[in-house]
Amino acid sequence: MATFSAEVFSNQYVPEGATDVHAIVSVTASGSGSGAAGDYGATGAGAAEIIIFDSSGSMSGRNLQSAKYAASVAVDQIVDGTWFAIVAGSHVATRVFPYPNAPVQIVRMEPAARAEAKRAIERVTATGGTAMSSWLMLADQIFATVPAGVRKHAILLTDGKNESEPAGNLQRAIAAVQGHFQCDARGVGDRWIVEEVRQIATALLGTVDLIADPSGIPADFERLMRASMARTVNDAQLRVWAPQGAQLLFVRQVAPTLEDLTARRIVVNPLTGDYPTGAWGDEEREYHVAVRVPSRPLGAEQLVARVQVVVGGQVAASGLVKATWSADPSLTARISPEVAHYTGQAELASVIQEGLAAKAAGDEATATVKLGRAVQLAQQTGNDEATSRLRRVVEIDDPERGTVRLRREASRLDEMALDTGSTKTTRVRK
Amino acid sequence: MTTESGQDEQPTQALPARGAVRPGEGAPGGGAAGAEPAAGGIAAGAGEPAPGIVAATTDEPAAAPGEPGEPAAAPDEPGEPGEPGEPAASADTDGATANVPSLACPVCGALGPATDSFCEACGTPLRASAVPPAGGQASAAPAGPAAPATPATDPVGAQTPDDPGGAAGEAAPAPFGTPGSNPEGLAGASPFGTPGSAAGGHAVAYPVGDPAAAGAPPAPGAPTAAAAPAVGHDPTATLGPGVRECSRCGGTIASDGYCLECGERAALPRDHFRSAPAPWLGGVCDRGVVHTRNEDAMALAVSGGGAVLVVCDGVSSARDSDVASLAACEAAATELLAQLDRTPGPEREQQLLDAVARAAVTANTAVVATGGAAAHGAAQQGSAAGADAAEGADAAGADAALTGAATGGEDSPSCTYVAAVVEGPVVAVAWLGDSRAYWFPDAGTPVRLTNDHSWAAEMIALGMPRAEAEAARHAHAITRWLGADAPDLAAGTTLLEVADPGWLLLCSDGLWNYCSEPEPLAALVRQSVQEAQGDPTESAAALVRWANGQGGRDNVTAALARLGR
Repeated sequence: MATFSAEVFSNQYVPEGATDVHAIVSVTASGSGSGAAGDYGATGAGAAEIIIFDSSGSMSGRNLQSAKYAASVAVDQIVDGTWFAIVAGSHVATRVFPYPNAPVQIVRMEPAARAEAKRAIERVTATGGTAMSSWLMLADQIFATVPAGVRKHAILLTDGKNESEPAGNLQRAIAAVQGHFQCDARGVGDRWIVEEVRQIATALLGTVDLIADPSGIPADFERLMRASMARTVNDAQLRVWAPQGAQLLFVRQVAPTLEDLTARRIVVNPLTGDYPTGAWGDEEREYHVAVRVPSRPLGAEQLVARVQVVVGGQVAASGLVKATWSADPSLTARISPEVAHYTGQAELASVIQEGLAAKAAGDEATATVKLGRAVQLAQQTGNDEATSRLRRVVEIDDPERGTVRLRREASRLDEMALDTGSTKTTRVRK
Repeated sequence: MTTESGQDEQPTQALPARGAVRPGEGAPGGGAAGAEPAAGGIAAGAGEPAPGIVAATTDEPAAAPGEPGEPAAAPDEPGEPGEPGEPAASADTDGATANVPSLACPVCGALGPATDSFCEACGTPLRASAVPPAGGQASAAPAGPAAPATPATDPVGAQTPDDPGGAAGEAAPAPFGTPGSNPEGLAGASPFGTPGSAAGGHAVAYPVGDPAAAGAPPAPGAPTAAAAPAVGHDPTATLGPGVRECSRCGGTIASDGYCLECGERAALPRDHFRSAPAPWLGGVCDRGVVHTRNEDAMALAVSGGGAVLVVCDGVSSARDSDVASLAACEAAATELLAQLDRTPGPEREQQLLDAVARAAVTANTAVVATGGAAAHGAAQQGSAAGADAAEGADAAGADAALTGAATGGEDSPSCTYVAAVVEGPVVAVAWLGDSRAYWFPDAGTPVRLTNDHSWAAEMIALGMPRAEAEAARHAHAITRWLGADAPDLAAGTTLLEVADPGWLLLCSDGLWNYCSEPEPLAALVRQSVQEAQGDPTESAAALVRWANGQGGRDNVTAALARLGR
């Protein structure tokens, strides 16, 4: 049985008249049984996996070869007993395995099924356009046939733009399947649209990443599938309570990646909301909660938020965010290093995305300012990965002051790498 | 400010009630009685939430580890071991509710009587039966043309003669079908189907587990122990056992020690308590608004027709003065109760005056004794003490400066002392420091009975103009107190003969700082008494509320006795 714990980082002491309280809540899950692979069937719990890969005409050649190989590698990672299916996507979605005329839409993994699935994958050929909404809808339809309580996860790989359907279709499909399964999304090459794919991953509680070279797909799929297999805690919610009269400014996941959860609130009662966080393995995630409360007299102490992890309707961990109004500047002037760090990381992500958008729109002045600020923030928060990705897009003159020049020769791939990586955060330097 | 702190707080009577509800019992055990409150004080302090960091595990959904056992310990305190006789008394008064265990809500953690069907705080059903089943029906795959249901575990069983596909020419027994061969006729023959076919699947019944098995968890052991508060006359015990009411908004206090509605921290028993030993005697001791600890203490008791009132105000610059002040009150009250029970001698008035002055020495011994215990408590109370020390910028800071300069031992626990023993028409009062006694006759001039041992008062006595003395930086610094570093234990004493009805008030500077002169204070008391319809405890509560409304910059204690009735 997994164990959750929650730790709150904030400066409890706020000056007279202060109303806003920020806290980082670090949630750790342990003992989820990671590594105890193979007992999913035995326990009757378990997971369902669908691998969705792009089989549109543009994929022909190396991309499809790699994708097919990667799908096979992923199939190897799927533990016996796990429900699984394979979908190939073009302007329509096709169930590759179980074969389209099979009596069931999804089967449990076992050695013979694994071998047959790989043979089925091998038969896929590249043809047609790209309509991702149909891929998601088919996956949803397949997942709907597995028993309740089974953890559902998909991997989606594409190489191109969603161009074979009206623009609104994908958004509608995402909205329709949201909450039904989780999905990690990957783009290979430089012809896909980061925003499109990120939209899918974000809404479906997954990650988005760029695979520059098709040879990298198998290793990535293997890693994704392994990680998914290790997540044995299904459907955990972050529950946030704020007092009567308070305003919850935002709820953000800030590590390992940045996700704004504010709009995903599911009302529990007028003071309490749940934010879905998907499945958990042994891992640590951090959340930034900001609450605005009416100011209290000096000396007053109150709780401004209860941040809890709820699994299966039970509170598994609880963190208390408190505020004490104090006249002592030595107490109130301290800024929680965790809050400062993740505030910087959130700004980093937004200036990168805004800078790249400005650059794409031809507004070089704005792009230079935004990306310069990004360099500065990456430096300040010790996000070396972001710094090295930024370095491929801008010439850094002074990282401390954020003085940069746009690189003329920056490749689209480098910009996409910077964009997709913008939401990855680093932890606080301890 | 709304801090009528913990007005309805059930456990509040706990500590001082010892002397109060069992007149006479305290007599033989003077020394032991001094040690007990010290332990109680430390427990209350240790129960304070650890700031900043709180974690919980799956096993204890309701317990916030930063506050071990706090909700349980609080109402339980009067019944602590070493108090023989208490359980019987509490069983009498609380028999109706004592046996109802409390349950923590699995969703929000709020405590409620186990007999409740729904959580008061969040509405979650509390019975296993109330959890809606999440599964149980067979979920069906989109039905194929007409094929019979085929269990997934029996892949070959689908080879039925009346194959709905019709053209079963190549019926393949292989469980995975045969890729590339005529797919149409094989629908249903393999769980994986065959490639190239567009035929749909079959309805499949899935065995579904019982996700509804997770009902309400068993009640955590700790909160159930909260039943049976020992103080029988608590008029506020309207909530179920273990359920506490928020002193700010009236909401429910969760097991994590904060209100479920407004987030207010639950008042610790030590932060706000009341005592009402007789219909004509009562008092309230409160943390106030600004301080993080209540270092005031109070003990009230009656015996026969007589009464004992003691108020002590811990010196906030000294460590663990909250423990010290409580120990002092308990020790003095115990000794004075014994005195009341003694046969009056010929010089009764002098006897009482001597007793009330001598009780200060006994109280001092109790304070000094807490020094050892306090050293242990210091580690647990570190954060609270730190916060308090940081706040002592004004009067308390001056105290610290003077105390430290005078003795070099500013760290030893210390407190002020004012006590009154009432027997018939005689009131004997003694004091050390700046806690005060006033007499407010219904008709006649109100008087202050005590004369502060403070820097300002001594300077005035030496001829300095009052205004100048009271404006000085050290004006409030006290010059006598109880504690290991006490400079002088000679208490000031005064005797009052009550001829007409009136109110005796003992209070700490948390009250009189806002209203020092007898005339306006008398008016304030009259108004409070009127508000409370003559009830002394409620009147004292109104005074405390008023002081908190003025800012509550210090702990506030007010004890009232109706005399000459």
